[in-house]
Amino acid sequence: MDRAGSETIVAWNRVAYTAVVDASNADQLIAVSAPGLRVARAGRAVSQSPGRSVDPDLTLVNEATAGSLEAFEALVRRYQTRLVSYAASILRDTGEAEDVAQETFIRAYRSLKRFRGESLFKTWLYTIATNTARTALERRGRRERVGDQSLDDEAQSLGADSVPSGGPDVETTLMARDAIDRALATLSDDLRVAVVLRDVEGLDYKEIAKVTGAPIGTVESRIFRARQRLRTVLQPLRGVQMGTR
Amino acid sequence: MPCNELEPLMLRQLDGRLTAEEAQRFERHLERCDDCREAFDTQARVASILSARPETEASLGFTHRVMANLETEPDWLDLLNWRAWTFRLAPVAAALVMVAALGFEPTEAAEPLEFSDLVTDWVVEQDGEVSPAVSLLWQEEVAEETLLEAVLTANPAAPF
Repeated sequence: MDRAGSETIVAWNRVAYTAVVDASNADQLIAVSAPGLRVARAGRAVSQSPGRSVDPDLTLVNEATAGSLEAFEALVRRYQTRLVSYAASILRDTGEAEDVAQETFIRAYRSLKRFRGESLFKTWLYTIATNTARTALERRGRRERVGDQSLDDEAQSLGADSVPSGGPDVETTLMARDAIDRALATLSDDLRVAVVLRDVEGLDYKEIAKVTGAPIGTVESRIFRARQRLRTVLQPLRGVQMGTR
Repeated sequence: MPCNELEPLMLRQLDGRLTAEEAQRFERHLERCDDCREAFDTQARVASILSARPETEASLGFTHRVMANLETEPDWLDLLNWRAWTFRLAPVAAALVMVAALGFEPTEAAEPLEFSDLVTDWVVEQDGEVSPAVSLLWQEEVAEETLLEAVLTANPAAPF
């Protein structure tokens, strides 16, 4: 017999559990369910409450935290292109980008137990990647003492000759990407990180605020200013066909 | 509407998150204001170019290198990590702990929960099959004392 139950969602340890309580007696717990699983009082039928998965990476993350290397490797494969790509757009150097991506995965592996699911795994990964990239930038800054490149220099070097025309062949794609990365390099680190996370990586403002540790208002302002500053430098790229993402 | 109020609206417009009313006010301002129209145009074009940035692929063997470099020296915490082998039971144990944590079983603060009190009249439904909670837990080769301890001492405020 179906007993009417009222449901509460309780998020705990990365899983959204649905607790069904007897509607007529709040002290009576009827069932606790999670995706694919239900623990219920024997003899009482409860209407199915659909378990809600909050993180698409949840299964793999749980398995990896429990010690499964295969699961962690699957996570690496799932995110490697995104992290290498993200690091490349921040650092502009592909070799360094791979180092940063590799270090990000290693740090993530070592602190897996500390990941509590307060954010998506993806957001957490980007946070580690951003901090690792910033460290790399600081290290590089100390080594090279590179001053801010003037906007004019970059705008000149991105002149019409160096910009590809025609359809999206491999060379065009590589040149266009390099042009974008050189343009991004003219921004300060904060502006570059914000605009890349938004426009290249597609994170929403709340996620970017978590990743960068900055308030949403600051994130919005950085993105706005970054795009305004990039206008001149990117001008030659308008209308250029780039390869697929 | 003054121009300096337009910045957040421009950002939201690009995300498609303006209400119908806000969108109207936004459009009307752009009709009358060249500077803002140009600024919005810039926002849209730059965002579009950046979003088309082709991905940088990882070089061959990247995954292998990452896996080879994972530190295998044991964290002292690993020695206490009972979850490593109770993983398959974790959802069941966790659900049962939820039962206790939500405070539905009558307990005195000082008294530990009797494990059998917790499980005997509960069943586990998994993949369409129903089994008593106790028998499912005991199917796995799990040290009874350790699982018991984990279930009794787990605290939702500071989970495993």
